[in-house]
Amino acid sequence: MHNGTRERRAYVLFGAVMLLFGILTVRLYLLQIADWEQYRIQSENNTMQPVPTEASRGLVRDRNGTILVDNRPSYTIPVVPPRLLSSAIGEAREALIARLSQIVGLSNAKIEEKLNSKNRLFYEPVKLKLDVGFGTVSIVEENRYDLPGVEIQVEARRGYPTFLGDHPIAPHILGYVGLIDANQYPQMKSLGYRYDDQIGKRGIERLKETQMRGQEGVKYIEVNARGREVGGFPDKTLPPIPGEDIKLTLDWRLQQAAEQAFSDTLKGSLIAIDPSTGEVLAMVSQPRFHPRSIRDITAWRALQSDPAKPLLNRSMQGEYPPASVFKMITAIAALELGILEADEYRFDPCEGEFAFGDRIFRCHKTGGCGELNLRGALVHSCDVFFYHLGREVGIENWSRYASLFGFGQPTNIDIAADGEAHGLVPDRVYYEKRKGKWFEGNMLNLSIGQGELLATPLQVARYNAALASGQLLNPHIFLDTPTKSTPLPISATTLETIRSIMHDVVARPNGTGRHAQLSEISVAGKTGTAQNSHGDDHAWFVAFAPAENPRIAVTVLVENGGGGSTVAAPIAKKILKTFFEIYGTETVPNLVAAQKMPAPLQATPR
Amino acid sequence: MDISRFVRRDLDIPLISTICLTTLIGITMIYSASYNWDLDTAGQPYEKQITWAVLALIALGITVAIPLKFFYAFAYILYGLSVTLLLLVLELGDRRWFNLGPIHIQPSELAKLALVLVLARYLSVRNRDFTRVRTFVLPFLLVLVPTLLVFKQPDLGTALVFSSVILPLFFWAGVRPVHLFFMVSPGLTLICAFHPWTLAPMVLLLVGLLFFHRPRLLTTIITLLINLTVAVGAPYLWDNKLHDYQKRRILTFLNPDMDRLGAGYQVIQSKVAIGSGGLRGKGFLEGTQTKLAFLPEQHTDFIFSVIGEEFGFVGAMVILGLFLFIIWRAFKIAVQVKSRFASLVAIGLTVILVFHIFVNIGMTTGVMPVTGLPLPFLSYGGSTLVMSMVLVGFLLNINANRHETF
Repeated sequence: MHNGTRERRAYVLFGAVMLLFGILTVRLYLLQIADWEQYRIQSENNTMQPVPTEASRGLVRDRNGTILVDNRPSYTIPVVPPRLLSSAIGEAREALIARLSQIVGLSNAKIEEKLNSKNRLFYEPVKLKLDVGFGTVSIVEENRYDLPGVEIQVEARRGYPTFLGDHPIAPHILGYVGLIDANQYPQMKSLGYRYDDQIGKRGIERLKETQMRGQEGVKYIEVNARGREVGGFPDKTLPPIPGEDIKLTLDWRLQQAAEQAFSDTLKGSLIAIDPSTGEVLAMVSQPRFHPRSIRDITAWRALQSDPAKPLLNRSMQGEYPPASVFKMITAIAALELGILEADEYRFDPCEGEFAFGDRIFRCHKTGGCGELNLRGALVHSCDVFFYHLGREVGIENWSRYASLFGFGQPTNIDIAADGEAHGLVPDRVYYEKRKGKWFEGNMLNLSIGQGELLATPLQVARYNAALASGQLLNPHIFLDTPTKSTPLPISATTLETIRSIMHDVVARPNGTGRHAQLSEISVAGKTGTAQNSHGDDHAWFVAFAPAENPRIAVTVLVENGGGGSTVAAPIAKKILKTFFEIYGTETVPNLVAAQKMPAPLQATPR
Repeated sequence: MDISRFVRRDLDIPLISTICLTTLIGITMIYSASYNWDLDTAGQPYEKQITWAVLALIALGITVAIPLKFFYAFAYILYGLSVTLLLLVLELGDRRWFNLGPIHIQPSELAKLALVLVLARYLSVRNRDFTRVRTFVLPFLLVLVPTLLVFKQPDLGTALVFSSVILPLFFWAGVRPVHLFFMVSPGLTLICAFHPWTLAPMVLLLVGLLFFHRPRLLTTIITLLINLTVAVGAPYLWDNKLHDYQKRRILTFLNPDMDRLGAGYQVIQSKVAIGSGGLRGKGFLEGTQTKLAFLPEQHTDFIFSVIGEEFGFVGAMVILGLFLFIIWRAFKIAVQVKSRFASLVAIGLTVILVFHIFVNIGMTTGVMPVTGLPLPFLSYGGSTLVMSMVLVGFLLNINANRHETF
């Protein structure tokens, strides 16, 4: 041993212990003797109470900076349970709760449940009711003397400045916020959520939750025994960090025009894409819902059980047979494979039907279309011509070309995490597995876009944009998602031919797409009328304009709407018209231009 | 073992009676802390604590009955076992404890004991050369492994407990104070690195000591190298590598006032409770701070706030006095015992006790960060009580066999 005897070392160590105990003694002396008066007053009269200060949630803006979702003040009635119940036991407690229930309009049981919530820290306030009206606020204010611990708090709720009254725009994309689920809470707790926090539940609110949320701050207030605020501790305040704003590629003017073009009696989807970038300019799914409905249980249940499925985002979650808008695939395959020339009269004249084996396949024109080349067959959308053509193209080639345009695969749009359907491009193997064997007659249906073939409106929109630009793009809705494009392995001549035919579909006086004609701009398009076993036909229309240098590609689907030519084409026309009214001959403003827009309005302070 | 002879001749009666008294005070204060709770399930906390106290006394008895030689022989095995359990609890358990129905078992409590045993065994070997760096490599590794595992749980408090035992044990084993200073110097440098004007005096002191005491070349080089790395590396890491949220977490730990609703608020309320107790307190069951809008941990980590509020400065001094008495008895045992191993064990366990007491009371009075370490014998909780009693069992065992040499 090098440092003396055990006794000496014991003195040193015990001396250290005495020093530590001395520190504690001095500290206790300071707290309990020197500053006793101050702490006594604090404990008798006033309580220091931490009040979380909400971080303002990030706003949602369109491509030009216009605010689509903001924050508005609303009144919440919070209560600190131990303070409310401290003086009330037994009957007094029941009376107090009955009174509270009368004021805020919740059942006694519900109030008990909230007061006894287990997830809360002891002193933490419970939000009794959100979004109460002025009436309730004034009653609470009058009764606050008898209701210790019951407070009135101004909180933010989401506001939608671009909505026209009860007509929401793009609710499926914007999504909504709601109270955190009880079973989701344990995981979220470690991320700083409290059990009665709002959280993004769907759409952008959910997908961008981490960016938009911001970070809660805290301030300390001094409250007297009655729960009245009598002072504060500004030096202890920790300010909240506001959430980030999210910018979308949508143009709200176009979006609004699209929402209005779809009258409330129609169901379906509309998607407008910039074919050079894949940016989604407008995306509608009808019927809609109001994002605020989630706050009202009855309204929400009604939405959930509505047979029209207003909560479904038809644009990316609905699957439909694409019908005649798909005929360009069959046509492109035939042109690329050298099966025929665009102006070649090759098949027997259409007499309205086509016999194959023991079955009759009909054309949509009962009297027949007569003798046609590819151009005429697309302009009139002759089915019999495509029965012939489909048989020559064959299932393998057909499904290969369908895949080239992204059918049967998700588009992986940047909001795909909200749920995206894959659609279905059947091939020979599919029929062998599902139906036992491949039957040539299946090809006839597939070649006109019917049969087992399924696509989402978004897949059709991507295909439409690909026809316009020659690139398969990733459709996206966040302005900062980079554009990814894959050139189509299809010759420029073939694409040029198809575009010129699609131009004729609209431009010719007897073309099926004539209802989409614009006076100054040339439009290219294609109609579709999808038969379905569940009800009336679905109406399709795909279009892009100007035909020679497309700047917008519009896809319209009207569920059970009837004919594409008469129902869907006029809707597309309205959007195209609005687009050119807004942008004239300019190009769509890009990210840089959008950021130069004047600073938008400030968020509502709370 | 002849029990009546043991009680008459070898039992440290003042020690065991003080322990029992403190535990009883704990149960009483737990009763007060949970006095007007609306409990619909299970029993009242104080009832459970009584059951635990009985179990803990049995555990104490068992510890007294096991020969010290056994602990000497199995020190490394016990250490290996507890490290394995710490690994398992990270992977399989609830990170901190194994959940066995109504009982939660915290392997970190066992690890505290095992660490003291293994260090005591290593340091008790005669002819260790305490002037060589290599002598200290193994002890530091032995401490580092459980510290990191517990830190990952994350239980910073217990991690600090592990690292707190090593220097006092070195000192007790005979390491010179100046060498101990070289060992703690990186820690001091770390603090000084963030206060530039203190860095120069620190460097001067270190270099001066190295110059005057002239330790071996390797010692000098290693000491300087580690200090240099810390002085340059720590501010660099802070500025460039740590995320804002990590910095915020560290700052909040050091300064609980920054914590939004959690620790900062608890400490403020605890200070008001203790401060408002005054000289003689508000009286048993009369504490207002602790009965009303106060923290749920008042019967566990913040039990001292209840004592301070209801029994004031006098009550707090009585508690400090009881603890000081226990520590004094423990030191007495450590000095008297013949075996080097047993003496080191006694000191190591005493350090653990002191650390818990100081950090916990320091936390409730706002002089130490909030670490979640319980107050021995007083805080509610089975694991802690059993482990504290086992610790006393060791002291009694060592006292009874103080003439034994091995």
